[in-house]
Amino acid sequence: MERIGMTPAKAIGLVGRLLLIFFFLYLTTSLYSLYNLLSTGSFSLGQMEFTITEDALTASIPFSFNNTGFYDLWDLNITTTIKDPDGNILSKDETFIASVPRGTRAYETHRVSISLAKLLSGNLTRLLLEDGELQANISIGFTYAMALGFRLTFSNLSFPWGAPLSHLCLTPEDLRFNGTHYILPVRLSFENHSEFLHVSGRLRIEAFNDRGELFSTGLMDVEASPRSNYHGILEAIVWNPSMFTDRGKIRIYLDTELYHLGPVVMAYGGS
Amino acid sequence: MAEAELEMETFGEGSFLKLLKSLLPRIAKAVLWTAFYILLDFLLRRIFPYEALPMELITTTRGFILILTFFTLAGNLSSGTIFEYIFGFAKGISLIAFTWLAFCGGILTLTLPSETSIPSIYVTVDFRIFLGMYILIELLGIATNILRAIEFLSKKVEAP
Repeated sequence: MERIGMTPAKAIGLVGRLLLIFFFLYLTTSLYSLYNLLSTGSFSLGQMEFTITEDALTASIPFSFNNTGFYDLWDLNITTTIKDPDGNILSKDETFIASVPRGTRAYETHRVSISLAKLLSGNLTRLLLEDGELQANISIGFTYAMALGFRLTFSNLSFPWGAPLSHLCLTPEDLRFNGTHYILPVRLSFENHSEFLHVSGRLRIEAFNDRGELFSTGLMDVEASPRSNYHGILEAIVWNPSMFTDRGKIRIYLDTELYHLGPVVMAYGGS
Repeated sequence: MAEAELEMETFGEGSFLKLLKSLLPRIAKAVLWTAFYILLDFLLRRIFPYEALPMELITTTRGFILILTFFTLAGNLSSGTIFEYIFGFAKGISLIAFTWLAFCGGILTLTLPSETSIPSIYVTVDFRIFLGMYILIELLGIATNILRAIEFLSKKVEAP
């Protein structure tokens, strides 16, 4: 260093300045490129599709990322967490793309699966009978230019949950005799507000009088497609007509392949 | 410091022009560097429209440029004295502390304004690698200033 007339301090200073110039060039170009990527819509989402299998509901969201920036993109991941109205986690799914080199476009489909068994196990009665809202958190993250971590998080996104047995109503009518048994006709109606759940199963009722004594039971098959209303009359056999009172309670049980509901207790007669 | 004393002596002899002549390049250098940083601020504003950026980031950028401008101005004006290196050292320390605090240790989380409070949109930018690189470079700058100050003082001792 002495030969070329430069002291160690000057040499270190020169190296420092050069490094600083490279550093700011790297920082500015990576920030500028990232800003351009995000502001020019390089990330695009496709049409969401729902698939229902026996045990799960899957939402598929195709997306693409067109890396028009100066640098490669790494560890692109999309994470979706879905919670029920009580805040319990129902599903957490992640889609990962290892790298998107500059000048290329990556296509992938983010799949969010909700296990119906899990969905209905916690708050079965509430989810089957009452409409509500599910909460979702969506997070998109990646590393840009090997040094810049970026994460965009949408929290508390809500989407409606349609109850398959919404406005469930049972109205017992007057007793009648069919020649062999006394029959209690019960008008049954509900609205299937679900976008995807099919109600198909066997409904069973147990009727109790105002003293809590069981006096009638009945069975019937119910079938309601998504976004449809169901009206039917269940004919329950009355074992002892003298036990029938104007007021009482009805216990409802519903058995389907996906879930078993019950007992749901509803009062009949009076207010 | 030696130059400054010399200047005072020459000033005492009534040679105001000589003092002005020695000061002018420093002032010019200081003005040029200040102009450079003002230009940098202007360019940054053109590249990244400040209206689109959160207020915290604008304040940070402005603060950074202000510190750079102040220490560059002070360092250049005190050029040729020990204060040049003291200001250089202080600049390094100030910038390290400022960037570390302003960028929250390298992870910056911003909440984007939305019309309703739900949903909330958060943007997290992880600058840790860049911050680490920057701090190392600034430490190199601090080391340079210490070495230069030692060099300056040893020259002063050696001088007859």
